[in-house]
Amino acid sequence: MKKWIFISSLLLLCLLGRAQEESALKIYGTISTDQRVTTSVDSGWIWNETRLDLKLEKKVNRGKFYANLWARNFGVPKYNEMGSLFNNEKIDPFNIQLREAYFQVDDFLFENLDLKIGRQRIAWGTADKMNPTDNLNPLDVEDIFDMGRRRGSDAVNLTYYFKGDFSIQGVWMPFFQPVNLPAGVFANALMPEFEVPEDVTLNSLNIHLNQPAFRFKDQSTLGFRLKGHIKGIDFSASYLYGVNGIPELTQVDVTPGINIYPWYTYIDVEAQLSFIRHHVFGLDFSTNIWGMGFWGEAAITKLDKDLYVKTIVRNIIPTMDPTITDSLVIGKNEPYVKWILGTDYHFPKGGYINLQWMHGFFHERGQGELNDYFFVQYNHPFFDGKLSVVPLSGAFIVNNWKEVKENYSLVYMPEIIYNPIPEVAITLSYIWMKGKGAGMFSAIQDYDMFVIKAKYSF
Amino acid sequence: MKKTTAILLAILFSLGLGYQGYAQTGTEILKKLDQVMFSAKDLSAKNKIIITSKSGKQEVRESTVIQKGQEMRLFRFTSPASQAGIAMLSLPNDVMYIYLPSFGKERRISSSVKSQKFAGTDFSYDDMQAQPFSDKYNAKLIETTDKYYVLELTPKTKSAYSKIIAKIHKTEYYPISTDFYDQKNEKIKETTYTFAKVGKYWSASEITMFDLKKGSKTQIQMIQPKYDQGLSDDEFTIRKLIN
Repeated sequence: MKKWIFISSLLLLCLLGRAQEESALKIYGTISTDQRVTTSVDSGWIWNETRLDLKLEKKVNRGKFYANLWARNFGVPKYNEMGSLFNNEKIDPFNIQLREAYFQVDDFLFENLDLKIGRQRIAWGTADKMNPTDNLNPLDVEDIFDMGRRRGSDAVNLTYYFKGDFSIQGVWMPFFQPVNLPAGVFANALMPEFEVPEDVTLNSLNIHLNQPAFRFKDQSTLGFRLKGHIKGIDFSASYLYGVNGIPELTQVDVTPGINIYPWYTYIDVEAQLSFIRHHVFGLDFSTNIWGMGFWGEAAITKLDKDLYVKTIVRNIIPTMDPTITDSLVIGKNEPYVKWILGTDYHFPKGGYINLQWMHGFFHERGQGELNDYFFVQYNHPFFDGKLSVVPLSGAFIVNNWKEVKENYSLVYMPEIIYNPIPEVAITLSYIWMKGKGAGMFSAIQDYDMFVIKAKYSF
Repeated sequence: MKKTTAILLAILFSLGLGYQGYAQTGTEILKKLDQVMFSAKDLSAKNKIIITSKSGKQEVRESTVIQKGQEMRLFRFTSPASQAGIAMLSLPNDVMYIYLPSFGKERRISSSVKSQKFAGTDFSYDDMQAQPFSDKYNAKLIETTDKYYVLELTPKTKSAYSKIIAKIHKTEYYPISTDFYDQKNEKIKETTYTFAKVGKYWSASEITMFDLKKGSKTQIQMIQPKYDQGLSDDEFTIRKLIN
């Protein structure tokens, strides 16, 4: 059904496009496929995505309309029950996402004030893809290797441009949108392991999410940003008051039990996760020294309220009172700082190198819990850029500097990109992961993979 | 005494004027070239960019360009689809920004990129930057013929080129050709210009860059140039770059 709605909409849009050709409604985008085959565990397909990324844009005298729609076959078919064969969504997994849809009015109310209303991506920060200050839109970590991807948010976005090099932006997002977590085999990458004592069996684990109430004060996000350029340095200062899209553990309810035959003790766990409101103060800069690009960002996060975890341990004898403890995880007066520093350089013969050092990934919080991430990429074009070879690309992550050997992750992702014609890009890469400890890539290191991507732009 | 001084001054003055009219310095000629190249208050045009490989295979790209004064230029690709929307803003004081639609924000370009090829063409980012020649190069007049002057240009700051040999039209002061030499003093690129009069301005209707090492060439054809449209400085801002 979804498919037919989409195809009908597409036909309508094409007709609309023709009808409005004179006023130049632009329809453009890409068709791409992304296939990944793991080489480590029962080699097989672990990613299957075919995407139509459709963009519609129409500029008018003082503004524009823009929309971005994804239509995808995503995932592998699942038909282990007879009923699945009657269910098109199971045998042909398909989804549609409205990534962005907004209109813009330039010189709204008065000169140099631009208004954007609708679903939109508001990208803050100057670093390359990893932006600690970019927190307005919900994270989209469905593909853990497409770092920095975020979904559009419904927002009212006003930007005033001063004469010269300064602008000030105010954003209001009425509705909260949570993160969408990694898909498929990458699902565990950001989830901490639930640890139980050795002699206890985890019988059941239910995790409940406390969704913020649909009231402005619980749902909405407010942000401001001042952006400028002084003496060769681009900079911005930002402030955001909103809800973090990644939920926090706020309650654990443990009920122990005994199995008589065979004899063992077990626990049933009910956990509650909540979305926490926070203040984020951001600063970023970028400049150019000795021909090299330099950038940096820092985001200071301060929780709106103390974050506690309530632990309820029920007694094995139901009539006895449970033990209840409240543990402070992060106090509202314990701000933590995530930051990134980066540099890039274009070699005279055509190579390009990009280095970044980040402290604190998107899902990490609390000053003592932030890890260090080192990213590197070297790209060399051949045949006028028709072929790009990326022999060096990856990340080194340290979770504990005192015991690096037991707390690290290493990712190596060499890549070749071939453009047979300007509209087509074919990418072949290999992702190799190794790690120890609780690092993000340690959790998925069994899934080294070949990646084949092809993209056509129209 | 006063009469003698006045006569002497008159002779010196006339000699001076006569000398300047007869033998201009390289710097003066280069400044006149800049005046011709940047004579209009502003310019808007469409560009057709034809890249021809050594084997004769052609790729066509299209762009729009607006320019104001000597140092403000906004260049935006309109085709092919894979590059449409990519834009470059060139501002005074060597400041350049690039806008990649997939990132949704502008990014300042480090100056090391200037020696790189611009979007697969035979032009470099440096070649595409709006900046007067006289700001970037010292000029020395090395030859004068009936039709043109030949200048040797040496960069004032670090550059991919060790020198440029430029032929300048003798009466109209537009460039006829420029030869680019690398640090080993080897000729690596050559540009030819076709100028046509549009209204009161000399307009570069076609610029062809030859890459002598690779055997490829890139032609930039300027289509429907419009001069003195009254473009405001606001057209050359991040606001316009990202929209």
